[in-house]
Amino acid sequence: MNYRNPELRALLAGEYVLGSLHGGARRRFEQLLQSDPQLRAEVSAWEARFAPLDQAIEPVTPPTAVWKHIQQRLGHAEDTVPEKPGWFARLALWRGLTAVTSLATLVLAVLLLLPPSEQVIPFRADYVAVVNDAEQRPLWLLRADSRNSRLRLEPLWVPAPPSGKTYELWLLAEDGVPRSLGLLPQTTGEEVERGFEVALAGEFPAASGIAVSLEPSGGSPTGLPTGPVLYQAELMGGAG
Amino acid sequence: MPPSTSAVPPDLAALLAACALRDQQAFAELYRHSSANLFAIALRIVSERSLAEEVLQETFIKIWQHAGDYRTQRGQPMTWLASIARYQALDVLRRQKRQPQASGAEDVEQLPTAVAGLTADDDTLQRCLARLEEAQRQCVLLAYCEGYSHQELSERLTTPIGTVKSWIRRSLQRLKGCFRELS
Repeated sequence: MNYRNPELRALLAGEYVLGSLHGGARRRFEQLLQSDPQLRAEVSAWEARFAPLDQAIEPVTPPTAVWKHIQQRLGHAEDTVPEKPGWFARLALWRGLTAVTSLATLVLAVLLLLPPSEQVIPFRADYVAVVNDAEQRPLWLLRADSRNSRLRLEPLWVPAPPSGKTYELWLLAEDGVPRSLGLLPQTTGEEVERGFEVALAGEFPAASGIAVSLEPSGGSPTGLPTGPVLYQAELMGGAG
Repeated sequence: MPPSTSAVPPDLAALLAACALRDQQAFAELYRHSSANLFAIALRIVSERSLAEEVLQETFIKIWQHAGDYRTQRGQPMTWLASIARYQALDVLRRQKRQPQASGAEDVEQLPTAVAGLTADDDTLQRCLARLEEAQRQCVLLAYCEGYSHQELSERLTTPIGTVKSWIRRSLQRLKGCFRELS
């Protein structure tokens, strides 16, 4: 099968989207898709052409049990229910970040620094912090790879936040203005790795530490801590 | 969870980006806004409700896991979500080996509705589908909307499988040409 012939590629992409590519042929095509961005573009083009057939469909409400199962499978907090004003207020948080005009652009900027998923950038921590409570019990372990704008957050022993509240992580920048590093894992469990805003990487060397505040679900709506600062920790590192 | 009744259209791209950063609230919001559509897409392909529920579950697990893969170059967020649901439904369907419809009447009658349901914005697809011959158009719609395989199309339309395959190929070529012409 000559996958380089453009007409054939367009045809295969169309058949893939239609669903008439089966079994082994379908699997081979899916593998190709992972490493061939132009083929992905062909597939996206067909999906866009046929999309109106899905848009016109009459929606059917799924049973509530499905959502519960999804939450259980993913280990999400079971009382996570979207609150109407919450999300749009939280959107303002993202729009308030400097040099970014939309959330999608923000994530794109971070993710574009990462290589395609076939290769993995090794995580090289250059900063570490341990967030302790008043009795010196370690709650979260934070490692930052500031060169790649990535964080690894391990929730060692996290007291459940009050209902409707969430823990948010802040970098205490040199100018005294806390910068949000996003939400922390809210329950004790496995280490989470995620990115943070690229522009903040430059604040790490001169930062005086990190802090954790208690915010409304979804994080501070203003871009600055609105709730009590519960914990602070020294940021160690910067070498290498 | 009741479906969203908010009049303000959600920013799905923003919700997906937040999901990529592990925002569980955003994921719940995304579910609220899109689950009914995705469930309907799954139901249309696998027919059985319990299977469709399984599809929807797997779909949202994948959405959570791959939210970071979404790019605006991949198209509209809803299209991206719908594709995940469709391919998941097709996977489940192929594993189930559906029985060919005993009475084919209802399906075929609904197909014109699928096309008629397209709004004015979607004129291009409607016009391009109209240019196909009836049997070819049925193949495309049965395949896309209901996940019919070549074998199933062949049985349903009592046409040799080789003919069905070339109908699909020709239809795709015609559709691509038509879209190029009308866009």
